[in-house]
Amino acid sequence: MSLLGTFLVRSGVLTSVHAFASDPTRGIFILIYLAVVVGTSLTLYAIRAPKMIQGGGFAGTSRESFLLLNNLVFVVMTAMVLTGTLYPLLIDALGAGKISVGPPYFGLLFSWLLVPIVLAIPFGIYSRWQQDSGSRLAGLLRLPFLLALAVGAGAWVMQPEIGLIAVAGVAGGAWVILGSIFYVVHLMKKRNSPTIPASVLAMTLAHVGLGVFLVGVSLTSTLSSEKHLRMEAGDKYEAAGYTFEFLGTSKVQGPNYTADEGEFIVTRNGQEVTRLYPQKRQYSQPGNSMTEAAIDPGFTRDLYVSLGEPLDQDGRAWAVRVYHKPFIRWIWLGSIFMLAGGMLAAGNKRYRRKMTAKEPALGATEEVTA
Amino acid sequence: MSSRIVPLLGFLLLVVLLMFGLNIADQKTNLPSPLINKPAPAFDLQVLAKPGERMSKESLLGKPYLVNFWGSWCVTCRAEHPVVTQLAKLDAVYIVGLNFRDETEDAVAWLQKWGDPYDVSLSDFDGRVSIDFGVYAAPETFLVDPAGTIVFKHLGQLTWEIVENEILPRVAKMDANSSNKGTGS
Amino acid sequence: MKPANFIVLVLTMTLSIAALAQRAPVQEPMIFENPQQEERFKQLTSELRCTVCQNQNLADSDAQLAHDLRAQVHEMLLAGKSDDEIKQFMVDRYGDFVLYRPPVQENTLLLWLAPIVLLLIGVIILRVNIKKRAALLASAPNDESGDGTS
Repeated sequence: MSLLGTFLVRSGVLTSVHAFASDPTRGIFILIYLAVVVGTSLTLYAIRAPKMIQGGGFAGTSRESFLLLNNLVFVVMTAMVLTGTLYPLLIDALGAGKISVGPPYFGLLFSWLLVPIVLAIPFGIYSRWQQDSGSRLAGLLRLPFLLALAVGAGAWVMQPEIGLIAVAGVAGGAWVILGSIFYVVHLMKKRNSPTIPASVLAMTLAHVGLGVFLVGVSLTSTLSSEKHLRMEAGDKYEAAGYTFEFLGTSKVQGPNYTADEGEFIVTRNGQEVTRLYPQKRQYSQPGNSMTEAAIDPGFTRDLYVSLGEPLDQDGRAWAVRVYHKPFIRWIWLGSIFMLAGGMLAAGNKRYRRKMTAKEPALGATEEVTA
Repeated sequence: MSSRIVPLLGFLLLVVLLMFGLNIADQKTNLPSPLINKPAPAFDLQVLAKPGERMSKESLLGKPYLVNFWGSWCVTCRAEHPVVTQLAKLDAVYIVGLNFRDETEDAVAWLQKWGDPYDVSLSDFDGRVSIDFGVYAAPETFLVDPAGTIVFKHLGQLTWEIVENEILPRVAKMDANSSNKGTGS
Repeated sequence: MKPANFIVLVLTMTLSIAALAQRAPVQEPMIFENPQQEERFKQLTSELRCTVCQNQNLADSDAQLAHDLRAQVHEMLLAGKSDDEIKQFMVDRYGDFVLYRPPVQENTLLLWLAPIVLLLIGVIILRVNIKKRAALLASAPNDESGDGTS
């Protein structure tokens, strides 16, 4: 995948924001390297891979099965990205036209593929190794499920404009988070201890991260507002309860640029929230202009303002863009949690122990099951 | 054994696809025109630097013509200019110069400086006609038949090779068809 | 300017479409009749691909043609055209290439069906494998507890 990615962005085969220094000549070398490395390893696999099943048996409803389901969906997601990326090239090769495959395709399919994963995660969290029962799991998960539905309903009631899909996203995120937290509580009760093993903490962090991410994406994609408007000193614009007042611009000198710096006061219910200072910079070498947005970050929302172009000769009226993005930091937060969980899990000592003949397959965890 | 060959075979197919991709990499930004074999968009434009005069698609029906989109801001148009001039000298086909997104003074100055090969020059200042023709780069050249259907489009610099292999043969065929019709009626 | 944008700008200069010496387009904010229309504008321009700066959508691209096409979309929205009509206008002139959401048609069936098909195949393989494992479990001697405590 890594070699393929290197090839795709360097060779000029694809037009993409991610492509740089496109050079078909260099592409040939990368392709040859890719073919040799992956080709020989796949050939080795074909010849040498042992035919026996590794590991022991497990039932249809078991932790192993949930892990396999997880892997299946992730593989399909990856394959979907690969086919989507290469499809235009395939169609071109077949002479069947020139098409584009972009964010609408990837976003849509990614969301749909996420559904089985999100639904299965709490079941997977609670499931026992080798053999478990669907009804046992359903019983344990009834309460978090109902609470998640309530969260979704609450979102629907408070902000109906987000639409049913975003509500489902919020409910799904809540489902994963609640399932994770309920399990931790369940485990603490069983072990009669306020602590949990590091591996369980890792798992919880990662899953909670996914839930937070889901909620962030659902809310920010539907509640964000962006307004492109003309503003003169003294003009005000209101979005989501925040009032942005433009005070005008002043000239500012930087190390290698001069800039028009705008000043905006942001208030909410009469109270000043922040002052924002976006800049429109003219760099001396080379003579490019860049716009620097001014951002007020927050846990529940980001506010930002950027200057476009001056709309009159003396630069008193400006084209301004004002953004309100609720919960956007949750996308980052969720990702950080997932990363932390993954790293914590990878650091587990059992991966560094020598295996003895008696030990079961390497996936076993230490938790006590009910 | 057979199932373990599958990944290798799949990978080899992928490599073949990527090799194809490399071969066409320098042309991949060229879009085929969806207008081939479709009627040319209707247009009604002012003749360059002649405020009273206009020309529309209707007035050009009945004979094949070339539409060459160009601008004085376009470096490649300057590069293809000798080929267009040579084609004009052959007097093989009526050539319409379609100057778009350009100030009249700049266009006129450009033609005076480098020579005017066009049988007529039209001015599409706001670029509307160029959008209707699906023009996204310059220069672009279209060959239109007597019935007003686009039969060929070339994106980018016109070369004598393209003129010889694509444009002139098609024009000859169209002329032959129309003279056949003439004798037949 | 992002490196990718800069390189594309250099490339497009060879086709000379966005010569900076031209009259600079002023980015006057567009006026819409209502917020829904503005939302439709954002949606449409984000799903249309710029043919000049081909790695950008129509909303982000700074090419001259992109400015003109955004104005075109704006005009069509104000004239009451539907989203489909606007997209068709673009496709008629530039081809399917300009749609970032590939239309469901003959040459894209494989694209849209592939994930579902792959998922189904995967589920079938999964079921077969799990059945094998379940059989293995049933036949294995019961000397290990299922919890894997360690």
